[in-house]
Amino acid sequence: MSANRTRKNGMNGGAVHLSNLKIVNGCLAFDVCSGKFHRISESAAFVICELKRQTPFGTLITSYSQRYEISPAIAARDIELFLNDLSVVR
Amino acid sequence: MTKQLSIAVSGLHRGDNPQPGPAVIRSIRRRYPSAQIIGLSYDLLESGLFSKSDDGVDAAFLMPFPNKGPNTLIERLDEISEIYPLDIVIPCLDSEIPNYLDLSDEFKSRRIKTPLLTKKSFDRGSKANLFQLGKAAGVRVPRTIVVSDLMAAHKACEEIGFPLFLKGKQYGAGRVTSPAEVAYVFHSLMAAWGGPVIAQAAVFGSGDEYDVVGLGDGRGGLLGSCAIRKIMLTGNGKAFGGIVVADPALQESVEKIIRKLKWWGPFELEFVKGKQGHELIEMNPRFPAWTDFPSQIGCNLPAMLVDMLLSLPVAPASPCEPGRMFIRHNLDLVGDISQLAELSSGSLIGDAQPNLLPSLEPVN
Repeated sequence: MSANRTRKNGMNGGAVHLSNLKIVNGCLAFDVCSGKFHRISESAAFVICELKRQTPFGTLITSYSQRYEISPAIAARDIELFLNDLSVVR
Repeated sequence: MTKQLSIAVSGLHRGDNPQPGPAVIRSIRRRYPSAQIIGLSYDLLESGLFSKSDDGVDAAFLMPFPNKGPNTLIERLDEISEIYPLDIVIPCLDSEIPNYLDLSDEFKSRRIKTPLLTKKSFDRGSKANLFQLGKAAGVRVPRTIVVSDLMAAHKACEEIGFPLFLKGKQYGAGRVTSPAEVAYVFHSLMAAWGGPVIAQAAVFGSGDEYDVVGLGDGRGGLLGSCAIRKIMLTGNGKAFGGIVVADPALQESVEKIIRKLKWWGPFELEFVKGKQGHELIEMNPRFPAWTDFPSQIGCNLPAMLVDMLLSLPVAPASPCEPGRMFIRHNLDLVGDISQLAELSSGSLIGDAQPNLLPSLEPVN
């Protein structure tokens, strides 16, 4: 997921609201509010979709670690870093 | 047999700075396929004159330049009306609007429908008054100072701070980054468009540009609108591609402006995203060149304008879906020297047959 992350200051150079994000064909994140869009990795799309479904964070870490066959600790760190990058307002 | 609807449209050139006319024509034909479209042209080489597609004209006439004034305009329209009695005229260029406003009574007496924008609304939305309008409506507008001479321009630039933009009254703009550039840009704008010149602060932030096209009902309401982020720009900053956005804050700004002006008819609002949100940098009293894009996705504002002018019931347009996008695509049109010869004598009559065709009901 890290390789395809968006820029340091968030996807749009600022905070992105999850409710505004639309995942298109599993590979593009489109912010309907700002009109910005970015290519994202399959794992990033997975995390965003789960968060939009309001999946609890613990459940997300479990499903993410199982899906990508990594330890829960690495999964948690990866997701946290991704969310920091995204500056998602949850 | 009843008279065929005859609609005159100007702004027919789709060059590197495309004009709205062909987009307006194409949109109107979606709803009114049998309408007879009369092109009002200022030049033999306006590209729309050569289109045989649904954005082309049935006949075209050379027009006097807007600086000749309203009397010359109405005289020419009278001449055209003798051949093709006009029901509606839709001016699509900023420089034309003042003459049309001056002629509103003349149009009424001739039963020619034109957008019913008031002079007061038009003046309040002009570049020179935009800052005051923003203040009154509660919409952020970059600081603006209107200047008429070079000394005042220098003073305004110092007051606002560099970089900033110097803009012509109706067209043209130049970015000024230091005092050394003020005189050149100021004189260029004065020579091209006349005074005054408007000094406008630059907007600092993401720099993303948003355009909104819409149709006001004249009572403060909005009959339809479409907001885009420009995703491709031409060399002079025009939208070459755009994507629909749904931003409640942007929409609120648009509604505030239209409510304050009680705007009647088409408009385009241009915003830049600054650190504290969208800032309104310009208002245009006409459809933009990309107006056929929303028409293709269910928000046909030019056709709604025709409905309004014909006093037909107008239901508010449904919102455009975010993520729909357009990319402009230029093609080469084939013409013939004989068309230039014909138009150089004042008019280009295609296959148009005045008053002979049955009128057709509008199609949705």
